[in-house]
Amino acid sequence: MRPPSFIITALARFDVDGRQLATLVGVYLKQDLRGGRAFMQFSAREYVRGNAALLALLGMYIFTGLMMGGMAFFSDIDALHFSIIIHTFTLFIVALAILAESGNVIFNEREADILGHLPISSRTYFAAKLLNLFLFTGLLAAAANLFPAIFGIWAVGANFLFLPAHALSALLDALLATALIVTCYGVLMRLVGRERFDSIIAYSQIILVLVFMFGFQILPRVMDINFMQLARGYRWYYLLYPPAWFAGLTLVLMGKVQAYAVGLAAVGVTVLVALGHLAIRKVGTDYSSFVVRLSYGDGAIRQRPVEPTVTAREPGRGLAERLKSAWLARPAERAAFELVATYLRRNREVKVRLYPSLAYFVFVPLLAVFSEGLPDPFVVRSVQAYSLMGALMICYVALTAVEVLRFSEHHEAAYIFRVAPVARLGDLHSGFRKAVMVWVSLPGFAVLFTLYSVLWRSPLHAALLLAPWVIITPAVLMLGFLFRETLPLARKYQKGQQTSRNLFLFLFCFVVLSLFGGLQAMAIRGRVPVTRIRFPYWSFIAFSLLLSACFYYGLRALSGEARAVEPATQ
Amino acid sequence: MIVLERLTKVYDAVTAVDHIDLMIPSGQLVGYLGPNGAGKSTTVKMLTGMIAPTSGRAEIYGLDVQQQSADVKRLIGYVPESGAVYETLTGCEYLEMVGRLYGLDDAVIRDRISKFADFFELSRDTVDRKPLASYSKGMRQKIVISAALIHNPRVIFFDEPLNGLDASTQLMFKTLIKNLAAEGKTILYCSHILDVVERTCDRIVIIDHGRVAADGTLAELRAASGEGSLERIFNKLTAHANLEERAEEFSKTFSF
Repeated sequence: MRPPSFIITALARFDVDGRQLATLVGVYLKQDLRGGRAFMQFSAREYVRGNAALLALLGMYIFTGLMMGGMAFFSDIDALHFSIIIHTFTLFIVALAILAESGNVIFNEREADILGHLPISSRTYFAAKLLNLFLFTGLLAAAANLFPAIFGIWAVGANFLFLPAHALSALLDALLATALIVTCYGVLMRLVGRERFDSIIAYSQIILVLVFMFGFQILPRVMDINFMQLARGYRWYYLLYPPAWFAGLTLVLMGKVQAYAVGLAAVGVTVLVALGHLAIRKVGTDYSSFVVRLSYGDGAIRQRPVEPTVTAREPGRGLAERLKSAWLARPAERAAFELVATYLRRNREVKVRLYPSLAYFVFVPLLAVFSEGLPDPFVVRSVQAYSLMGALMICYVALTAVEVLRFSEHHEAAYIFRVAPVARLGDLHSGFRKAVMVWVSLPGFAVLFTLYSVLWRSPLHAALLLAPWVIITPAVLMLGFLFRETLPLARKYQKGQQTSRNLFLFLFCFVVLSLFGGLQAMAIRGRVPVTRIRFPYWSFIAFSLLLSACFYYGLRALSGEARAVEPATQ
Repeated sequence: MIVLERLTKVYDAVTAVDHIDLMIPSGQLVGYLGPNGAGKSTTVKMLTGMIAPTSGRAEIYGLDVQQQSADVKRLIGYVPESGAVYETLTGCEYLEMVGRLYGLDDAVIRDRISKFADFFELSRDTVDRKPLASYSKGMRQKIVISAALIHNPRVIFFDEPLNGLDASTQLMFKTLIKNLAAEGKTILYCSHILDVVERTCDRIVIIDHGRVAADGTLAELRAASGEGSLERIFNKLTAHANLEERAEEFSKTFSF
């Protein structure tokens, strides 16, 4: 499709070739929306003809928007505050989605081979990336705002123009988040080499997740702000809050041209224009050369020493090595363990997708500290949901890790699992699970243990609280392998998959593990509510052991882990 | 020994491999040739148990590839056309992983890694410490070949194994596979490089559109086709007519 000539002319002023831009964006869209097939799939059913993950994600955001939009009916919230809340939600989901998805879009190593030699200007290439991400975030924003834009008409002081006004400002909200993150990446690419870029991206994503969560959840608590109680009037600090800028724009577009609304809208539009200018003029100018430099390296990675291998450690095999050999007795299990563990530690793609999730189990207890405090449950004989949520989040993050590690840019190398004589699929699954347990779950529990020990000044109480969760971890990890072949790093990643799977896992963990947490809360109180039935804590730990063993072996049998790795049908 | 009986693979409406019958005795080095999309890689993927055939069957040393998949896999080694590896691992870690998947002891794996590193002239520092992402294509291919041979297989499938290898390594590799065949290993060698197949293989099978178009020694193929070189035999059996004239005609369209 050829863009209209006036657009081509306008883009040419920024050294962006409109036809090339349309072609590139078209290609990216096809990649995103068409079904991605792994290298030799286990089942024909796994062949997805459309991006089902993206559709599921959109469906969930439409539903969430429906729930949130309902507040326009059930409260006397005014249009400004309704819009601020919806914009906050939009910015939050868009930012988290883009953090999960953008790494490989902004910097795609293989693309340098494909496009690097073509006559595409740096700014055209950059604009295509920006537009590609914006179409993704715009779609998410549109889904989340579908119902709120309609229901907002019934907010206090709103009129029917709320619908188009909010729809437009929500898209601008998404554009701001996209431009901000893309520009940050661009600046980073300009400043650092390949090796540091990989590390900084991975770790900065954790910080960005915390920043967004802090802004979304903790800041209102620290400032003692409750939007539902405010629900009226304008505060000066809204000028510092991006969602409020776009809420102001909604009011202005709706015809409510009041000074504060114009001020908020002006700040929003100015920041957006400045960011766009910075992105295209500054970052976009040298974008291609940064990508090429990072793809083909500046030599840094070639000299990077990695930790000594088993071969190098051979002369002095220590106790840890012997314990590892005993725990990973079967060679195929050990092979899968080492592969997954290495990718968890070293692979950029895995780090970028997984590490931001690690912020969750630190975030939840922090949230509690800033809101209601976090008393020792064994002293007050009552448990704060937040302290259990931290442990629940570790289970969620571990399942997220399993999902992340199913995908890899190196998925073609998974042929080896089908060629090698692996007698039991369960050996590969077991190595995979154990690696996630050792490198994700146990460090997570160690962090929480330290935090709770410090807060409660009782390592014993911290250990008692976390013990049941450690016990059920093997059973929880089985869920990632239930009824399916889950080979590590064997599937090609498709946009939207991570965000949608994370959302599914989150909902699942929240519902199922909350029941387990509820039982634990009862055990901490020592009796079943409303009754006189005693429920001592030791019996809950024994119950956890029994539950974990039953689920672990039951699910293992149900998943047919004793079978061999079967040939693919595709 | 490899036996294929009416082996077929159909993808949707496309028949990639169409009722192929073949028998390859032990110790034979067979060149498996065909134009792009002829079904070479699909045949190999079925023989290695990576994909299931639509119909027909294959046997390796008397073991049914589908029914006794795990036993068959212990006997075979495979170098894929893609040369795919887990690039985040070092060469040593990758070979250790493959060795463990074949159930080898760590000590045996380490010993064989040393031997392969010496043979392919890869420094221990490179193999032990550098991630495969930093290897050149040729170095990576050496690791892929080592991975296929690390468990000392009786049957080896090579799919374009010379990709990225320099001239001297190619020469070493050709000598290696001849010796492996002389030791009794059965080798199926898929390639587009006709010159190498012509000089190394005992027997040549040419397939086209999923069917066997020719099968025999070079001398037999020459006698049957009346052509002198393998290139001419191949073109006669698989290409459209008048290739050279068509290329000459097409080149004239660039005179603008």
